Amino acid sequence: MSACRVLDELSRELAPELRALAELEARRGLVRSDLLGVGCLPPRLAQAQAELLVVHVSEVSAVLASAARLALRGPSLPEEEHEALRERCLEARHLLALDGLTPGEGVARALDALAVERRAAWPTALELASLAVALRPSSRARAALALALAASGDWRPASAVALAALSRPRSAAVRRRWLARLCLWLERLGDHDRAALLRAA
Amino acid sequence: MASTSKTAESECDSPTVEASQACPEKRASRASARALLAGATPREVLARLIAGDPLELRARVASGLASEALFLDPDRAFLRTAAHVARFAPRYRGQPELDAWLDARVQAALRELAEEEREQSAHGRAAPTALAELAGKLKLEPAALARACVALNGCERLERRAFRALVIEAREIDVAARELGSTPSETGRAARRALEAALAALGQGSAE
Repeated sequence: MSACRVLDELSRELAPELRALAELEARRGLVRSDLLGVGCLPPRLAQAQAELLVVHVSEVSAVLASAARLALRGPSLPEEEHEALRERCLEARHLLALDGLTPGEGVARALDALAVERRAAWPTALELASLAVALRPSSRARAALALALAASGDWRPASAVALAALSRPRSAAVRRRWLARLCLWLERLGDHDRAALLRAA
Repeated sequence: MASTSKTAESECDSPTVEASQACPEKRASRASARALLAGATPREVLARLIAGDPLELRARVASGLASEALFLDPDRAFLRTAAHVARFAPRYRGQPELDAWLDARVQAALRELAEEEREQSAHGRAAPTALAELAGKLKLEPAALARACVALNGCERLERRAFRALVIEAREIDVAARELGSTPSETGRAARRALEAALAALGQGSAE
């Protein structure tokens, strides 16, 4: 059986998990904005501000994804990395407010928790990664979600995230990384044959 | 990558000139560039940046698109870059040099935009209107052309650059290979892989 056929089969078998991921990724509107709706902006400025909104949202998603990856490393963190994340978080909150953007409740709560000094106050890695993906389903956010799911032993949804990532046009290096993760999680599910087939591809 | 204004300051562009020894015009221009980025909200900085393009971001974006051989709408890439510069301006403290910092912002904006278009294409969302005219000239559906661009942008850098040199610019393979630091056969193979990815994406719509 070819690797493509294996991926097709897995897509069918993991359809419920893929649907749940698509629903999570479609959960936009987590940031309320008056950035786009103030008076009658000249069209050029309105276009530029629409791009700024995307950049703000992307950065918040990136902060949450980074926090999720850090959270996966355990209860204590290197001081320097923790402080850098805290600063990034405070900056994101400050600049959102300056530009009249209000994060949705879940995102605001997560940013508040990440801005405090105690690591114990953080949401779980899975919560952080889910918020990151819902804000913007970037490679970074998807990777954080897949790893958080895998760390919780949720191999099927983790495999679904890998499959979704593999369905996008990718460079060979990125495909290899996702394939390696998928193989590992298939093995955890006891699916050694298909894991071996994909590994050999 | 494009640097500051080419008018009347060509001798200032020498890469051997250290920042501390730069000519007075360039120092003044850097100071005014930094003033543009300071003391305002991202939204206000953005308005300054798109009014007359004082940091010459459009030229930097054009240069970034060419050097990375990315197939993106240049105007959207310019606006996204301006938004990036505006959002991250508070982090800029004078290091690295402004040119290097701006170029890094261009790269980040282009990567982000390419990834976003990949996601939109995966969800079958509408093709950028900027492609409509080009698609018409090529007798292709705009959505098909958008899929091909996304596929090309997902290729390795060497593949994209080889495709651009050999297919778009119709360069001699030996010349292109030299410029890419590769061999003619690897350059040809890389361009072919990119072409196959683009053709597969063009064919997707009709296969569905």
